[in-house]
Amino acid sequence: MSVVAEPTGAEGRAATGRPPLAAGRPVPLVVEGVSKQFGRAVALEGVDLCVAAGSIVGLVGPNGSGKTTLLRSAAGLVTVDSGSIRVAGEPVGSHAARSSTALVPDEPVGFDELTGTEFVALAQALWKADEQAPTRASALASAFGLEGRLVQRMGTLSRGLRRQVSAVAALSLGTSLVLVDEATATLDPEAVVVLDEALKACAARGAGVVLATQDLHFAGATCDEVVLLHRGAIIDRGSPLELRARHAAGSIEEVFLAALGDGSLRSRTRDAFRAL
Amino acid sequence: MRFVLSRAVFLCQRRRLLALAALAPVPAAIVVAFVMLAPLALARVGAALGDELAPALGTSAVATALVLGPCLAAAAAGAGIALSLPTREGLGQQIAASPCGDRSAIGAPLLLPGMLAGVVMLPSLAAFITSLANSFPGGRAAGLALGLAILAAVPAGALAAEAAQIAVRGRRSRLSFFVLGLGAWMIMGKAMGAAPLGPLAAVAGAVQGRGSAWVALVVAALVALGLGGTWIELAARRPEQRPRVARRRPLVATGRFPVLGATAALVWRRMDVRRASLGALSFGLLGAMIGVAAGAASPGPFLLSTTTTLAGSLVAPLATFSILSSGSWIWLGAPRGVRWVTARASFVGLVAAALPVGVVASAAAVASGVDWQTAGAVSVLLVMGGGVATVAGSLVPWQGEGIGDQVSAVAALIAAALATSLAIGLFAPRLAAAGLPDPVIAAALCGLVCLLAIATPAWRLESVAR
Repeated sequence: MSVVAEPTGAEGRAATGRPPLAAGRPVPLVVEGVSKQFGRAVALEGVDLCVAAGSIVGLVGPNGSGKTTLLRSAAGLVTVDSGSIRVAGEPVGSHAARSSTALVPDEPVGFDELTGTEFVALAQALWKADEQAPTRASALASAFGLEGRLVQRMGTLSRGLRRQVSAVAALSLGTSLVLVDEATATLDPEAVVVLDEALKACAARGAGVVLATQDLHFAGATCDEVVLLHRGAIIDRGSPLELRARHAAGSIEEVFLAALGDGSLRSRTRDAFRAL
Repeated sequence: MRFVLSRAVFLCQRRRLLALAALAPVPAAIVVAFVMLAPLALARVGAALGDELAPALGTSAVATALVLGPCLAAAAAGAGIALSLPTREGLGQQIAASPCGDRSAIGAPLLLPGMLAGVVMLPSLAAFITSLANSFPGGRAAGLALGLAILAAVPAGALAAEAAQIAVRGRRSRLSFFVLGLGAWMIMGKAMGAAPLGPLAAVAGAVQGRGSAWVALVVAALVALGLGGTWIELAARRPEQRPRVARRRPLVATGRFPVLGATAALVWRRMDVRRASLGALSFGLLGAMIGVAAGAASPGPFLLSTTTTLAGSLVAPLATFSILSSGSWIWLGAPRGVRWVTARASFVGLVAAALPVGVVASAAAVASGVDWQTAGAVSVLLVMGGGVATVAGSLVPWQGEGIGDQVSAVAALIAAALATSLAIGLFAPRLAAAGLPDPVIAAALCGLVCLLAIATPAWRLESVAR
């Protein structure tokens, strides 16, 4: 069983004085040489990723770069063609691995007829969450401003509100791995702030957090490590600070474009549109 | 944990059905009334059929056909359900990632729909079989055994569908178990006098009064339980779908008939529709082969094969509304009337249902011959069935993914079919007595059902938007 060999978490988070991580805790997520193809399309190619306890890893990349496939593989929803994935030391898809994983999907579908409260209770019952879970759910719902909404059926909520309820359900479980797909999509600015703090709180209590996002500002501000995916392969990785320094860039957006070799995208597009 | 998930799914489905009933209380009340009255009517039909069949029931071929016909149709329905059963991800990604077992994930969505299908179907089946069984040499116990054999045929068809999926998904090593099972089934059936029926041949013997009806009853119950359990187990371990190779040329016709082209492509690209149609085609051709091999007189093989195919091919019109509702934003947003769209979609669903029936009907007609009257009757049955399936699928949508309402949609289809049969039974004889020729009555009834098949999805689409 793999264990954390080194202290983790951002320099910034260490400075906030959050409690230190327990030594000997199984590594929340270890991905080794994972490849996956859908027909002829390569979704993942030789991906290695280690998400230590207490760290937040952001997956960024163009549409179709494999972010969601990687998250779904880690959640045990996709069987990979080669390589291995271990969640908290257990093989992915096993009962123990599933018990250690919480997922906030991009599109929370199904169970439209359950109220938000019932949906959160269902998730807690399925994961056999500890007795603190309702307290955590209550705090999360309150932070998201969902108190009045939780009595509504999921099908009557907007997509953004459904995602917030989904986040309340997932983050209240207290699992050692939290996966968040399209973290900020459809969320209002207040909800983004709450999600940011909630994910940092999860990491602070020792969970490993992996989020996929197109919001590069959010990734830069929230993640300890940013992993750039392109056509299923990791093309660069590092802390936001390291990435900016390595690419001599002022922002993660510039890092992103430089890593993809498309630094002149903005000027090229502007020129092209001028002709319209 | 199994019950936590089952309870949640049960709650969702119950609330959805109640919401549908609240949306259309009068049609819902009419359907409920018809479903409640159906056992009475079917008891009379069963008694009449029993009186007609009584003199021939002593012969082995008639008894075997009496068991095989409904069993084949039930197997086709079972295959349709199995092929369209959503995977674990049908629960939604978040809950699919939960530590619940695969059997729970597959079984939970079947609980309420199964109960609902039972409530709708079992009283009618029991009433029909009980009154029919009064004419059986084997008595009512043989009738009960026949009812159980029909129920056992549902998982048998589902298992055949699982075998096909395992073969298609490249797990041919697992297929050997199916081949062995099928061999054992046929050997048992051969020993009992009807190879295709397997151990259920005991029921045919009981119907004839040759064997113990109680033994047949126990055998049918054991077969139902055994096949049902095996199916759930296999469905939970279904291998992952093979990735599909992208087509180079688009199927959608964008020229003069864009809506027809788009809806046809949407229907054709639905895997559940494709699989159900393929299953229906296979079962239909199998029925025709069995009918011809057994030496049944014309139009027996034609009727057996086409009605069996129809049972599975109705998935296409049943799924039409869910295909429309998933793209309601474009249908409702376009400056065309909703009925203009639903008319074309209903037509596409009907054509999709007609294709496998047409292939099987042609094969059966060539193999055993058929008269124009029988072909016409099957055509009317096809149009009526397609229309009723479109209406039922609009009231209780058949979901390709989601929590899995397939069995609820099948229950709605059975209820709607029962209601339609009773309505026709009430009014058609009066029209005939008034001097209208049969083809005119049939055309009028088909026209009425087609109008309903256009209006109901339009009304539901508009209500979704509201």
